[in-house]
Amino acid sequence: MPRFPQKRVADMQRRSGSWLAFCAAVLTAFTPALAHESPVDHVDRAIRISVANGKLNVRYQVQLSERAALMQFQRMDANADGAVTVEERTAFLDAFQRDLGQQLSVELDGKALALKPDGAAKLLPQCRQVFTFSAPIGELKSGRYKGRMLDSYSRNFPGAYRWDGPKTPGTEGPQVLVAEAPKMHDTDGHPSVLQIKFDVVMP
Amino acid sequence: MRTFLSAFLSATLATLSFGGEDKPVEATAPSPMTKASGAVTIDGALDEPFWKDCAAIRCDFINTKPGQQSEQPRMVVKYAWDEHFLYIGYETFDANLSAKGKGVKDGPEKNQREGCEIAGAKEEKIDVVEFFISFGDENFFWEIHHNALNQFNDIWITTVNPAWPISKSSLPMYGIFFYDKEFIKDDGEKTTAMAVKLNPRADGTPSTVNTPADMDTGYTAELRLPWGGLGAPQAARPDERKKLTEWKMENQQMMLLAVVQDGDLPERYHHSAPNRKNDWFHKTPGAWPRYVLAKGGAAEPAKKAAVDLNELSTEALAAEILRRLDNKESVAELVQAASDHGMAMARALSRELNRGTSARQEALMNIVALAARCRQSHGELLKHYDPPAFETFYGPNARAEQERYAGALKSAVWPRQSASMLIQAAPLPLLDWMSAQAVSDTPDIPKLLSVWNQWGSNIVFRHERQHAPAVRALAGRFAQNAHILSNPNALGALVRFAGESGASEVTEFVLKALEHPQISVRAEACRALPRLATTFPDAMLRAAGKESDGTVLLMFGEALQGWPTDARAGEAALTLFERAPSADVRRAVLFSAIDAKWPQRTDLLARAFAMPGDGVLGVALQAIAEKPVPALSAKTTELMTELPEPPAPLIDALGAAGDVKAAPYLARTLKESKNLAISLKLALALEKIGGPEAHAALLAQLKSATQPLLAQHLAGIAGRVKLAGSEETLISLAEDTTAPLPVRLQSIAALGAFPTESVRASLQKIDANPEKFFGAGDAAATPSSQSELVEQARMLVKLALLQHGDAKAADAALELFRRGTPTTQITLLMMLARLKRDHPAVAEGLASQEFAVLLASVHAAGAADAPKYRERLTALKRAPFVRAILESGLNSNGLEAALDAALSTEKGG
Repeated sequence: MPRFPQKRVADMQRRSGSWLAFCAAVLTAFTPALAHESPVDHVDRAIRISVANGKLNVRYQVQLSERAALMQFQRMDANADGAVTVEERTAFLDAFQRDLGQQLSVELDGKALALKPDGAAKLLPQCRQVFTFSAPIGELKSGRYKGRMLDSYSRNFPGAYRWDGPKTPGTEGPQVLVAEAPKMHDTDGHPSVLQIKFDVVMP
Repeated sequence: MRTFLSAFLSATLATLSFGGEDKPVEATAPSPMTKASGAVTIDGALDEPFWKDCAAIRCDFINTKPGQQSEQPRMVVKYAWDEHFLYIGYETFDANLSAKGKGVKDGPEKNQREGCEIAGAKEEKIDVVEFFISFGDENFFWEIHHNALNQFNDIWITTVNPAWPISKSSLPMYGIFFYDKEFIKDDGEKTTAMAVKLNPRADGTPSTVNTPADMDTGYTAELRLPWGGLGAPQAARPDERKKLTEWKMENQQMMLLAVVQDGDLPERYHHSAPNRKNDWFHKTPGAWPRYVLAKGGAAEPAKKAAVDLNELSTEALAAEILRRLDNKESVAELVQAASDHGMAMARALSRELNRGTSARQEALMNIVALAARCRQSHGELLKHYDPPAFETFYGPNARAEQERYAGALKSAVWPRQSASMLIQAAPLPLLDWMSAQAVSDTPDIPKLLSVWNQWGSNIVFRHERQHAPAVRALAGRFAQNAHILSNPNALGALVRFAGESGASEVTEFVLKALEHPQISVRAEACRALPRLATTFPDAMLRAAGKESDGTVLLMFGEALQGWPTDARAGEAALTLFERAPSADVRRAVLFSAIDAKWPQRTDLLARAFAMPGDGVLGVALQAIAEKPVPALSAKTTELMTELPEPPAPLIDALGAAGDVKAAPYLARTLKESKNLAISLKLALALEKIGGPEAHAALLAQLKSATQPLLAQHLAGIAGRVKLAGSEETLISLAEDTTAPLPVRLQSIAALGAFPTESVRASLQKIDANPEKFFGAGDAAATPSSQSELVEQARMLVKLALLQHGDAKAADAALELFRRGTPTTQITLLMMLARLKRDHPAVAEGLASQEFAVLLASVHAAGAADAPKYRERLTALKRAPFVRAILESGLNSNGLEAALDAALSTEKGG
């Protein structure tokens, strides 16, 4: 079969414009009932990594849209009575936290860390959920250690990302500094994930 | 048109006092300017972490009163720097944003920006922000302007020293040369950039520019100016011999004056220089604030405050807010952090609400109103996410809790944010107050107007979850207050409030307003009635025959869409169309007819063919496109001879009419069209018309289209109509790794419709080695969007194979569905819906907690096998939290209609 005319392909590429516009067009083409904007709820996230007491700690905050929060409640409300009990909420968030922890992979100094949930999830006004994790790193000697976090959860939902610390670089104690502006990391043909490269500076 | 120079002069002259002292001003020590760190996105939001470390510089010094600051903050500015740019971030607090572009662009060839007017007619009340930027020279510097519409001027300024001979020349005006044709050049890839982000109003929607009727809250902006373009010192220039690119700016000094013009204020100009006398800004450089570009950052006190903010407890942050207000400092940077604390912050500030100056009260009310906006949320969400809010609005002591915020109800004059704060934070006390006002002999009309305006709007947009019935009931009581009815302004506002709150019990009262002598009252009545009257009122029919005011008739025409099935509305539409004094009214009537089922619809549209001018025929064609009118087919087709190049509405109408006679005309136009939007419409029209001629044209286009979006749509059409002869092209497109991915995706999806050997072989080839075909993709794609599309491509190959009878593909598609992103899942589900094909993914999708996936699943379930999913769909429709989405102002993307459609389907499809 003849190859597609290269001049035509070149023309197409020259005219292809915004790639995101094409994503939207594809979605729209298949989903006429869903109008023109992606109906997938955005999730805004703020991530803080810190080091203290021989542990690396990750504070992962998500902010849901009200619609997404109501959909979570729909899932929690097993008996469909329109009320969510603390037990139902805790069970849901515990499971979510475990799942989220498995989707966060952290390396420090070239070694993978075993991140575990560290305390229960916290809910804050404006549909914010805070999950904390930690991994033992032992007593590090004075120096600078390279670290990386890959956030596979980020591949599912569009939304803003914010580095949430440290607030006071240069003060006493271990510091975690972003070494490279966070960016989306391609994952072998599958949707990209958020990557944060950071340095741990031990005094 | 006024020239820039004359506009500039008239604006600046208005502020001048020529009798000022000429004593030199003692320069103050330079303040440190923070170095920016990390990536800086110029989007108008000051959310990069370094902005928090920058000193917040108040621009509140009144131009005509040297050294005196305004009571209310006018603008806060922050400066930052790095090796390539000066960054300016600022926030204004203007309650009525006004901006005007010059209509011409300026700047480097590849970085043109529209200029902004800095003065206009008095009623335009133009606002603009100005910066004067110098590296130490008091006679040569930049003056830049920026406004809320992100328009930008850069002017090179030369002021003339009286000792220079040129000062005797007639060339400089007022001793100043304005080189407005000069511009800040880009420094290679380091370009000038600017952006604006409008602050949210009390109801959460963004402030608006040039809409005087509403209450804005200002905006934030970011400017990025390259050192090379600004003319930074030669000594700081990168050493090209060493292939350096970074400017050595540390310890360089600058002079920077910030000015804000607010067109609404009698004191229009405020600035950032405490010691500046009242003169041309250009002539007081000695008093401009000076800065030194420091590595470490801003002055310590400001840095300390910024560092602490995010860690402060609610009480500590509230104390910091009060401290700043008492010191007349801006609290703008604290507002977001404060509202993040939810109703706990509102509580902490509640005791201070009615103390101090009106500016202080207004600032606190704004924070409380923002925090209390959570009342728009579902009660169960508040219970878990913001327990103080739940107690305040749903708890057993809700009324007592809300009284904390109700002090304003006893004030003679309300600060600006009062109504919105009371509606959000103290609805029960406010309802009590309104009840008393309803029977008062001296109702406080200005306060009532502000409450009606905001609460009515909240109900229309379904943001009032709790008290809509009580508000509605009050509208009826106000309608019995003679003192209110005797005030035409109050009457018009009440009519509108009655409509917005849906107070159907006062329909008769609103109908009477149709005959009120005041035009605005009649217009409001027309606007309100569709929300109140379920059947078209006789009084409106009578009004259609005698109303003469153009504004009222326009409202009337728009109101008709409220009764799309009522024949009397159709009768009124005909009368109105005939009596209309302008095309505006005729178009409004026709817009209402687009979805109407009136028996008079055909007659009405036929009349539009007789009076086609000023866009009237265009709207009629839109109506025909929406719902074809066989009786007008001939007339529609006749237009082809009159219009060699069809406008978009005619293309749509011809497609909807489905008359094969239109095919050659549309095909010829498609072949010649250079306009992508028109080409897409032509292709879709030909798809609807069908037949050999239309298909031949579509096939020819599929083979030759170079516009990716057009090729993508043509591939989709080929699949939908099973376009004979298109298989080879579709295969070629699907397999061509250099073709744009969306075109390939659509081609793969289309191949499912062609169960031939060659197609199957191609699909199997792709399926066997997806990385080969989708690994590289298009160079223009970002990794994120491309990999999403690659995943969808894998899914679509499976789906196409499934259509070809490959049973294994169903399992593989399910596996891809399970590990796919929501977007990928939606793609599969909507394809299944289109193919009316059941699949295990449908049941899994119906259990999804992602709204969009659920919605797509409902579509798929309804199309594939509605009876099978009836029980699940019924449960979903009744589920309390799904109902909470459907019954609120949240965007449900048509979920209710999709559920109803699926549940009313007896069999698949």
